[in-house]
Amino acid sequence: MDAPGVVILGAMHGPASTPRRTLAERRALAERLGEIVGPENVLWSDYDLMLYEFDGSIDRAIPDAVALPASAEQVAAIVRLCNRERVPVVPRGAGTGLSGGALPIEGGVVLSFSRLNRILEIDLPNLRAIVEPGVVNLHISHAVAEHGLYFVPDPSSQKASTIGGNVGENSGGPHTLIYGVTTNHVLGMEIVTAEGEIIHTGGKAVDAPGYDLTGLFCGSEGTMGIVTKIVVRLTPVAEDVKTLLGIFETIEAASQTVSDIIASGVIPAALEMMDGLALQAVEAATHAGYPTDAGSVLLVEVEGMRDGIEDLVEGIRALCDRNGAREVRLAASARERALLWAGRKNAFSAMGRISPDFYVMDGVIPRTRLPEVLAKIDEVSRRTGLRIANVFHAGDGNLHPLCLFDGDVPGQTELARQVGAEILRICAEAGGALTGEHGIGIEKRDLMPLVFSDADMDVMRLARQAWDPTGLCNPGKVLPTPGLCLDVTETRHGRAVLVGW
Amino acid sequence: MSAGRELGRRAARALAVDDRAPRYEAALRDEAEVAAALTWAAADRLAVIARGGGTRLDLGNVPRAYDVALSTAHLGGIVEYEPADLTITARAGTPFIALQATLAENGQFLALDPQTHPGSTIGGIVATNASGPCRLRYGTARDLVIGTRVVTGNGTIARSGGRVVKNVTGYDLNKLYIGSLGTLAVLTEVTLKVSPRPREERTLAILMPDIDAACALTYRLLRSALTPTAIEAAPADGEAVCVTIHLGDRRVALDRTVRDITAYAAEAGAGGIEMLDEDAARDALDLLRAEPVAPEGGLRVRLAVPIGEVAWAWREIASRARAAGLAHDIRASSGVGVLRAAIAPGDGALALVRALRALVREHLGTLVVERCPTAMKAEIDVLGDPGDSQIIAQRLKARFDPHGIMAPGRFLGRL
Repeated sequence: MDAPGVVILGAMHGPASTPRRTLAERRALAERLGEIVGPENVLWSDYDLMLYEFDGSIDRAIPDAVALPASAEQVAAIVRLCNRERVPVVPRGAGTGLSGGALPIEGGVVLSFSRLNRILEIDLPNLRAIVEPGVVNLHISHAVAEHGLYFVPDPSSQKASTIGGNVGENSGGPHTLIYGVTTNHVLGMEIVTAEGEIIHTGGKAVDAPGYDLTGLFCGSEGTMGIVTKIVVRLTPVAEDVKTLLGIFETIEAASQTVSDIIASGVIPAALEMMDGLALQAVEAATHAGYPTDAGSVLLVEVEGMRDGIEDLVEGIRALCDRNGAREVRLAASARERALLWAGRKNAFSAMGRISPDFYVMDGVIPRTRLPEVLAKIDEVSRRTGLRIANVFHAGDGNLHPLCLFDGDVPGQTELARQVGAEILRICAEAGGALTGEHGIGIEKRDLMPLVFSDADMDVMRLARQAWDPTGLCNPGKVLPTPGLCLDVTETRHGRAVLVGW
Repeated sequence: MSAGRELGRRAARALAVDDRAPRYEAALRDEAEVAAALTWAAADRLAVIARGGGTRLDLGNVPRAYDVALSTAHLGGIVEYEPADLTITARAGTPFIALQATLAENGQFLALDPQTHPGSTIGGIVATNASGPCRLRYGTARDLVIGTRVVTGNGTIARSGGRVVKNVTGYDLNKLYIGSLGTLAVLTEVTLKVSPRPREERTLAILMPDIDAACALTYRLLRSALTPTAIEAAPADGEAVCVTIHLGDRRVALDRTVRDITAYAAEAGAGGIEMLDEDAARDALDLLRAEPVAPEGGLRVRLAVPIGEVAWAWREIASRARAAGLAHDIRASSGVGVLRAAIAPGDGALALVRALRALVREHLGTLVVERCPTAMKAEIDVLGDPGDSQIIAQRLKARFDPHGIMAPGRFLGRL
């Protein structure tokens, strides 16, 4: 079966692509890159570049060359070369990003970090590790597991996505509700600047004097420079963990339970919700034991000391019951727990079981607006006829509505884009944000005016220019081109966003 | 047009920073007034220092110029508070105490506990990145601030972040403003994550024979399943060190925690362990969050080191101050790697600071002089040695404050 496709909103760059530079130009560029990293670590033939045309979105943009540096010095030399030649530089981790962050939409050199993938130091006395950007997220936790430690941020892509990509996107995950996201667990960096200088921010100690450049860089989507080393915090693994599955007839009952849990003064380690449509897909794909006839389920995880954890579980069970849960199930074994999580973490790809294509959104809303926003999303689904499955981090109000469509049916792709934009508009109107963890990238760039004024974005632009005065690093991402962005006030139902221009 | 009120000599002196007195005061009531004042100051090239309660203006280098005291003390009030969202939005001049009182009515609190005074404002706390003992569990402003509104040095009103707890929409400029001492922009509004108050709290005081034993106990706790709110070390008699551990949880978890800590403390050679009653616990925590006080003319330094270097740093401060004949007082947030020391005035004080800073750097730490005589500020950058990232800091400053009017000279590298 074909992998399900994902469409994105960005409309400024057409489908399919050929490199921007001629073969002769690319050969010359590749030769220069080869002098830095060795010819065997440069890709520039049409065939080799095809792999780098995609990331986790279905949009595409082909680079002029791909370089695989093995050191910060090589990265710096590449950036200096690109600076002289006025060629954009786009960093790429595992290419799992969902907003087009790793796509070279203005061409240029893609930096692949598959050779910068070492865990350089595990510093137990200071509870830190120093890693290179190409290290896979989960490999950090594996490397320190024998010491009872782990790296907290756990994006669903963590088996593949790299820490460099996580820093670029400021990735979250289901377990960031209580522990925070990537930025809360990164204390320092080595960065190659847009001029090709190697600089250092933060470190193993907290509270480095000066502006918090580490914090500013986190989530900058490759537009401020290239990170080449990362100092991360290591955290003890909790002594005990309990995972509950609450099964509800309606999504409202589950939403109310989320509010009640938070109001009771308990912040679970994770608080996830899936609706009936999502459950059908997940169960078909994973056989995790999810009900396929329920209106929604809540996946609640509490962790901490053994002592008192039963009380927490019983308290949450009581709140589920009070809201009319059909059943509340406690995962009886590590295997059962892992299976429930596999179902949740593979939920996006499971959509292939019930739809040829899907389009995932990443809006965020204040938790208390959940029932109202879900009702509005449902209304959009009814009106447009597109099915929308909901999978989300309910605890922090981070929605992942999945618009299901068939790209082979004329007009459906366009309709999915419209629905996606409309959902983000609903989130923005509820006092929320366009993205909680997937990033703006190219996908949501032109929707930025839904939440930020021109002045807000001008000030963000100042920060970007301070790092990258000439626009060398991942150009065309995050901020819309001034003057080209949509006029929000005159846009009806987000349609103006989607017309090709 | 002038947005500031001209000051008489006495009023100006009351607003002085590092012996420099301003010519104008601008006490502003809303964001538009802040923007108008900064536009005026930018046009006339008047140097502005923003102040909330004015309680932490000792921080930073001597300003190169100071014309306008821009006060946000009247720019207060809660903008939005939805307890079930666990977030609150407040104007910068909201008194910290009033903010906490509002949250307390709903069984919640803002998990920042720096030493505060009745006038301390939330804007001032964020702009100076002030924190206290409970940062061990809850983090600092960088972990709690989710949205800001500011006016930049050219009078632009801009927002960053939002009111949701998880957000990667646009650049995280909140981080840039935290601890920036008003050198890029004036904070006008802050949105913060808040926390439910723990069901029960307990505080233990443990006497350890020396700082090494105190830090060994700390590390044992950091590697355990326990989740203490704060671990603080303060000197006791002779070499002995008192470790104060604050806890917040459900009763059954607290019982287990106290049992485990008692056992760990005994293994680490504790001389005694005491559970403090409510009054004593409050006094102990107040004392620990209080900045150590140096006699007039003395100085206060703050060291941040990797957590494994706390005992080393403590001994270096103590032995070098002693060798220089300078009385001193040290505290350590041993669980996070922050030490604060007051050092009595004396001829060797500046040399001591320089020597300590160089040593601490070798151990991957930093030293900030938080308070010292103004004369000493001419000799040394009180915030530290700018590293190789200073070029980015310079460019940020040049763009956010193109006329160089925002507390010029006060920041790291005298930016």
